[in-house]
Amino acid sequence: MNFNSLYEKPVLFAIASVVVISVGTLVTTFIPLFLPSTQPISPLVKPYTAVEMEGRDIYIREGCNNCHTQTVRPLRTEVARYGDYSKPEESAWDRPFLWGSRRTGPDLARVGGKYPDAWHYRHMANPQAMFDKSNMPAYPWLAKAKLDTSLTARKVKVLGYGYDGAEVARQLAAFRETVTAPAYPSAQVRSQVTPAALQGEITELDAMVAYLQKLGRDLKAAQGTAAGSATAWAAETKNPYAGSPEAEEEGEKIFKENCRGCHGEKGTGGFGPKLATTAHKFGGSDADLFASVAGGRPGGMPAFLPQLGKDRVWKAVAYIRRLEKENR
Amino acid sequence: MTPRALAYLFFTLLLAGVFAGIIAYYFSRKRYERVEAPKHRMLADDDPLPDSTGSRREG
Amino acid sequence: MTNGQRSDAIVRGFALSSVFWLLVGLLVGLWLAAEMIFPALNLAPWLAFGRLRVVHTNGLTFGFTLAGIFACSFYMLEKLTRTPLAFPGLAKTQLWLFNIAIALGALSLFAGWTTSKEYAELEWPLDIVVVVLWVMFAVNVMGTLVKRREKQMYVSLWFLVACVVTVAVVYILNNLAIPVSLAKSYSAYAGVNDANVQWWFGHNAVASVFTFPILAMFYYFLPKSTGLPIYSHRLSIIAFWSLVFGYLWTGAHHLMLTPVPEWIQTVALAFSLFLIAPSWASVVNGYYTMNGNWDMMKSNYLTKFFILGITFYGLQTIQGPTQAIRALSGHLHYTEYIPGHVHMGTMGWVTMIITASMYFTTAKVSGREVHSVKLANIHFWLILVGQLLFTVTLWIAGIVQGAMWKAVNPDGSLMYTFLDSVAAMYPYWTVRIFGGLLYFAGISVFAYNLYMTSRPKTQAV
Repeated sequence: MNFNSLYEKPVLFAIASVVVISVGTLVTTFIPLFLPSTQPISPLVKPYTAVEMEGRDIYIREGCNNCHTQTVRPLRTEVARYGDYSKPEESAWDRPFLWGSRRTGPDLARVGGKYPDAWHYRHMANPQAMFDKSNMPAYPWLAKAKLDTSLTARKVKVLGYGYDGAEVARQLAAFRETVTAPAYPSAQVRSQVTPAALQGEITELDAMVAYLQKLGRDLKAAQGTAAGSATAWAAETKNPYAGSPEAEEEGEKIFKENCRGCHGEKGTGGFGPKLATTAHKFGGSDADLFASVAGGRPGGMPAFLPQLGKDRVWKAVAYIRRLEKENR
Repeated sequence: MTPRALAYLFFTLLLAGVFAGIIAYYFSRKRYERVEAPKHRMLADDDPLPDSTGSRREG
Repeated sequence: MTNGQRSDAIVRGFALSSVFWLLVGLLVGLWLAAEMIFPALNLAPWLAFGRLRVVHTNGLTFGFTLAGIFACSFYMLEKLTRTPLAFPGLAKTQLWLFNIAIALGALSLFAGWTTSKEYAELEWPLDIVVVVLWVMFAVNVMGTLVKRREKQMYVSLWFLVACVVTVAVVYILNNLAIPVSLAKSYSAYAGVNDANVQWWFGHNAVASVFTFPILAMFYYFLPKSTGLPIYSHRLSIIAFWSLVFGYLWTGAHHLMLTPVPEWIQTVALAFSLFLIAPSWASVVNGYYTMNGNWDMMKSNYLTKFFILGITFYGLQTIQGPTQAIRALSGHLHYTEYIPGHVHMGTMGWVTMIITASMYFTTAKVSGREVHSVKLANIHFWLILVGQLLFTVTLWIAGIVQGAMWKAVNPDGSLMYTFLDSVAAMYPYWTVRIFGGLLYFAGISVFAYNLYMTSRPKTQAV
């Protein structure tokens, strides 16, 4: 065979090119389509509800994946920052996948349940009001648009979530009832960002928040990571920095970066409880305050121990003590 | 060695062999002129189209 | 006297379209760079970063780069086959349809019609238009090749054929989706598979748009503008086949340390390192071509574009594989280092080669010399300095950012919040804007110079 003639026969050459590019394609892309390792199913990972799915589509429409990843890598610092690393079965219902390629903003794979809904309502409306150095765009228009549900049933069918149109209608009605009820825990902040005409409707922002709250939630539930489990730091009962002005000053810096968004300037309260008081919601002893900051509390207080470490948690507690005093 | 490791090794050697074969084939002295001809011809492609006795495609 | 080829008007049309979309894409890029620092610039939904970034990447990949490829490919085809274009009417239709499609594509992305899969964001109706356009191009390429009067195909034509077939395969397979409305579809693949297919596409879109056809131009226009034959045609044979074979294995290096099966990542890493060899074969081929004639870097205004371009290609193809190494990926992936890497490829390699090739072709099809060599030199220095300022800044920014994400206190807790790592980026992002402005100034000079060169001679004053 004369291989020089390959360069004299364009059609043969094109066919040869297709064959050559097909080898790597077959091995790394086509064959894996059918391997169990690329399509693991776990009963623990539930499909999205109709509202979460619509929220996901808004996430896609707004291109959130251009700045936020949704895959935690198995690196020690990454697990400390975000939570457990991502597992393949977690993406089983994701069409398309939304792992992203750039973290201009933080990873969101474990954001579900980290903050109360109110945090997201306020943050999406004006991120800089909560974190002045943030470069996240504000998305005030999401609260001003009614969620379009005309295609929801069809989408759910195409995505194969395993429930029908009647179930979609039931879910939408139940969700609407939940977020519009006066007893909805984030009702106050929601009503601040939602125009009057849409107070009784599902807005695009409602759906987006529902989606964000779903991210990583199934995994957390399966692992039973209960917030505020006190046993891990039972020994932490007394603040080594009590009364140290240097520690209080450092604590103030930690507070501004991590706590101010929810608990307000100088701990005067926001949608997180007031801290400049001696009447703390979850107890006011050193041990109680340490447990609250380190391990989080139900209702939206995240755990800060993995990120801050014991030392800085105590410094933050020292600053809270100063706020108590200043407020007296 | 596990069969899996052997398979990896075999595949790697196979690719290396094909690669060496391609190099040996095209770098052999007897093909030099034919393989290198186009690089000179392309420089003259602004010339008027060659006549029928020139370098017209055969067949 | 004009070039007298069938494709003259089409080459000119694609060249000017390319310049137009280049200017649009860069303006969008500058706005995005400013949004990184001033979030208040996200004035409206269609101007918000998430939507605008996609307009930038698609506008420049498909608008600028593809049009540049079409312009130079039609020119090279006729020359290297010594045959008139097989279907000039089809090519003219392609020119019009192309510009309509790019405009519609930009509008649809502004409107939030997106699949979210990178560089494949266009929704299904536009995907179909892209496929139609590609078939039109392929018909002309293959048709002209079959009718050719030059017996052997020169290396540029192989890369052109590889581009035609690879884009077709990866674009169609990655965009398979089930529509639910005109503006919305869902990927045919789920989760891990969707990620794996997407980055197999993502990486080979880079290969078949930013590498194969640009190499075709390099192998053609460097010898043509210098009058020097390429150093080794047989070396380019080795480079071609190993590049085309190796590229398709490497997509998963974009997915290091994700839930994609580990063996796919490892195979991708191995082939990524292998690809340094064929990539550098082209670099070496270019350098040796200049052997004994390096004075042309000064005396011939186009030579420096090609040599600097292939140098950035060489750096790019070293940097890319090293980023695939797990330890480095763990530090650099998701940081500003990656946009720094990409922009050296696009602003250094791709744009240097395309703009220089378009000077050459536009001058030829207009039957005149380039309007101003002096302006071309100013264009060269502005885009070189602008690009270096931009990319080197982002590499440093990325290393800093990765280090901040990984920094721990003695007690094992994280040293910095995520917001600290954002705040640390503002100085770098500011320098990046200045790099971008210099670059844009250079491209504006190019646009003027090319437009003046493209005017038909009868209208010249």
